[in-house]
Amino acid sequence: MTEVWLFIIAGALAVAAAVMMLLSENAVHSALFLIVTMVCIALLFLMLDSPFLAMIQITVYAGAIMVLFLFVIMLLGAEKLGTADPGPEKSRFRWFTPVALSLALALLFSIGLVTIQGNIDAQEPPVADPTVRVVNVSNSGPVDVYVGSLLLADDLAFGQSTSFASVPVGEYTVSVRPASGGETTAVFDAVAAESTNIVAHGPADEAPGIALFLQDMRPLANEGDGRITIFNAKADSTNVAVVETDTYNTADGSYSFVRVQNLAFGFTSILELPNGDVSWRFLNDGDGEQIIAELFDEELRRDSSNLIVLADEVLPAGTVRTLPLVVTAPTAAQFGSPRAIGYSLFTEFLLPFQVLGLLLLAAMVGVIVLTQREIKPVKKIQQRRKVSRPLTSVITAQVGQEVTEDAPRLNAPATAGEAEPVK
Amino acid sequence: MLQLPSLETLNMGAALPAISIAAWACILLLIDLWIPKDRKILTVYLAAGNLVFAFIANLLVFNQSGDSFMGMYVADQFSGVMNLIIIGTALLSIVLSFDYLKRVGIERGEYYVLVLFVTAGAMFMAAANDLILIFVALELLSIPLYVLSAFRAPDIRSEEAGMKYFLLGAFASAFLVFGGAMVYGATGTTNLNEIAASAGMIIASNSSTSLFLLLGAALLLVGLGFKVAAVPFHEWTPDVYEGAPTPVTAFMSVAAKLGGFGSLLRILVVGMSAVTMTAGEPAVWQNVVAILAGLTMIVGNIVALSQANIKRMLAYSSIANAGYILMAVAAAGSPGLANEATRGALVYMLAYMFTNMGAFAVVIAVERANGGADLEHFVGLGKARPMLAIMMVVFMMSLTGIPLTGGFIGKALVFATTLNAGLVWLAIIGVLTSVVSAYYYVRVIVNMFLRDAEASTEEATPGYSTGVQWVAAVALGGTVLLGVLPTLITVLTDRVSLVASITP
Amino acid sequence: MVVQTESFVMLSIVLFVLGAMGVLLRRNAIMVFMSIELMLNAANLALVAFARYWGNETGQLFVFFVITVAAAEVAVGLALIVAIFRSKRSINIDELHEMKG
Repeated sequence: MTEVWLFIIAGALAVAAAVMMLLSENAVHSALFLIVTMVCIALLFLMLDSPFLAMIQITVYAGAIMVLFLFVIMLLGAEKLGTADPGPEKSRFRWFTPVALSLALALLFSIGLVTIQGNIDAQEPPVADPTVRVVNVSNSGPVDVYVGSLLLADDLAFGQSTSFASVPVGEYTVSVRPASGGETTAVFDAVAAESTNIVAHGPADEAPGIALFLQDMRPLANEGDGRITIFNAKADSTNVAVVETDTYNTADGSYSFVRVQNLAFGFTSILELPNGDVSWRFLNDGDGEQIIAELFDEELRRDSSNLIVLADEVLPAGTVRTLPLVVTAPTAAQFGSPRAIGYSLFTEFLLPFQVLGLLLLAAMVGVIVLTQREIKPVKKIQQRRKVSRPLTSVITAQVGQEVTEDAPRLNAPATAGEAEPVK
Repeated sequence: MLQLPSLETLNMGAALPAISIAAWACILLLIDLWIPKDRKILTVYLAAGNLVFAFIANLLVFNQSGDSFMGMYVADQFSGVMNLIIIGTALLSIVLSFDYLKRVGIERGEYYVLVLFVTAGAMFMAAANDLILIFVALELLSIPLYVLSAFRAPDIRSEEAGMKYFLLGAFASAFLVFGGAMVYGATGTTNLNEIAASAGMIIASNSSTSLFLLLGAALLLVGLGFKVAAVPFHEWTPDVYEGAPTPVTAFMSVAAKLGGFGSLLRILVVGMSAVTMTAGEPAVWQNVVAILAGLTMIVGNIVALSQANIKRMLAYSSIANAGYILMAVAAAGSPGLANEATRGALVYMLAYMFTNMGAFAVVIAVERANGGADLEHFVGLGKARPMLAIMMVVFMMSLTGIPLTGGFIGKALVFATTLNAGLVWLAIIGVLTSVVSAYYYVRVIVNMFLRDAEASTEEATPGYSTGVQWVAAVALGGTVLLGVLPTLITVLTDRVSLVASITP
Repeated sequence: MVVQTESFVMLSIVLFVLGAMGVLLRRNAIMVFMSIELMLNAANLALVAFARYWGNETGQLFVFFVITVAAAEVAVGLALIVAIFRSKRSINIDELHEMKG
């Protein structure tokens, strides 16, 4: 309810200030009313989940542009608009006021009708499409992965992953086809706004198994954290524990800080940690002696959603090693946050951004060209009249001809008008 | 870390002509600092050189089709041809300006930099695939033009022209933004291709958001209509054209229309072709644009009849020409005709560019020789300077649409397209107004040849500088060549297909 | 969404029409210019309302660009006004009638 009241107050204030701006005699008052309108609009921006734009509105629009306006108004001395009017009988509005007013009312009415008929809120606002990516940790060679009929991964080698791709909502059959032949399928239901990982895993000679689980890409609860999803794809592991390497206790061979316990094969665990460097060890059976894999100084970036897949890799020589495969992706930025806008400015909207820069440069050049003028040297000689003006005009009247020319020079002979005193 | 898109995904090569002009404008601004005041001809050479480079670059990338800058900028044959015409305009107007600026005493290097910015803006507008880029490029096109209109600063008429142009131009761009907001509200995106897909769905499902879409389209039309001087948004044109320095008028009369029509064609054909009452029928906006076109032709031609000042007459004539191009835009609404209509519009714009630049070149020469640009100053030109008069005759004939000139080819194509679209009444208005326009064009010819000047000017003031000579010659050549051998240009335009950019 | 998108759009339309009336009716160039700024603000409000409705940031980016372009326009416009004022000592648009329509 408070939101409704806030909207009504801000809206009414904005409209009232706009009307006052239009009716005001004084240009400075008008500018100040416009600032009130802009601040109300900034308040409305805040209500609409765009804090960044609200601040930009206040700093740039109300703060810079209107200050520039006020500066020019005061520079030109234009605050008393009434004095610029040619005559008292003309109003400060132009002659076609009734026509313009009725046109404006007609426009308002028709657009209002359109808006209400448009009924935009009756529609469901659309939700984002589900996204899917593929990670290959199977040892049967490069795989092709199809989701429905869409080829998501073409010849994906061990340890490689694709980036997220959108698929329409629905149920799909995932088909994993290794290069060596054969096919494994699984069914998955793509739900709107969810991101799914398809992990193909398995030893060298068998058909790859498919694991499907979600990757949480939503903004993190704490600013600057990173999210890690750990998936255990090592078939012969039991109760894997993930520990902090630095907390090794040499006395009894255990680790005092255990991040995850009892992670079985095929299961996931999700953590949210502050950003920084991460050093972990993966222990089989929770036993400090059985270190199966290690992460050393892996950078956990801020605002990232990471996937760590613990998998066996069969090397060409035949030996097997276990490694944690790390796949990183940035989380979705908070709606309306500076990060979201910044990302878009540098990826999707790069060209308008650059053209905007050009525009600002052109405006600067234009302003300087328009207002620059040559400064001419000022004539330094200011002659003072030797004789006062009323006296010379009386003399002129008496003599009958002009008796003074330009300002008399200091050392020039006296003009006729100077010599004769008036009787 | 921010993942910037790689250079391959950006595909900057496709946008090379526009980018090179924009970048060089910034560099020229710096270089101009070191060019002494009396040798500003160097700036002219540098600017012209860059335009030539961009022209050649455009020819080289002509056959490259594709998105650039993540779908913002589309490099297809349409933008290729538009770029060529825009660069040609800029080149001609730069050559035209040098002597004029020196003579009037307003010579500054920044003039050429601003012209380059306008050119870049127009090129971005013609190739923009997104409402946001259209808006920003429109401002890049307009703001230097406001400044250029007021370039003869102490002269109050020039300043007044700049002020009027600025106020009405800003008014129009506010309408454009609001229209863009409505379209965004209806479709959720500002990319023209996605708008087309979304509009199709909205119309097909008969949803009520189609009202927003229509309102948005109407406001976009208003905003762009100001730029191309369509009636009833044409009030600013005569005053601004008269007050601005003549080479700026020449440039403005062509470049602003090119940018405006490029964007208008893209928005309507690529973005809104699907906005129909029932599938297979002409788009809803066809009738609206047709009415605008009809009004523009009628008002433009009829008011031009009473103009004594040639610059004002040419201003109204350019309004009328905008009407003819709008006919082609209206015809583009019919299903299947979009490509043909676009090609017609392109050829007309090319012919219009040559003719207008040539006519203004003659006006500048007459201004210099006889001190003004009223009809009176053209009297007796046939005897005093026959070459100039003959060129003017050709340009006037081209504007009327007499065969063997480029204007005729342009009008023929536009009329043919309009008839194909079934807008017979519009074509009839077009023909009738063309006949009417013959009166005031021929009046100039009559004045030049059949009346003698009262006072014989014995002082042989040089009527034209080298720059004007060149421009008039090139314009003459272009007009005649286009009229006699239209296949030279239709070879290029025949591959233009805007409709292909719509994903079905 | 507690407050409907519709309400925001109606408000923005009211402000837009007020601005348009200001442009058509006021005679002082600075007043006309401020009315144009009001129109742009109204369009910004509509854009942000739609951005929230659709859930994508395109609308907010459009507003970003509009605000910056408005800044550039204000600079040039005020420079023009200053230049005219220097010549004529008045910024009344009705007095800009050197050229007869």
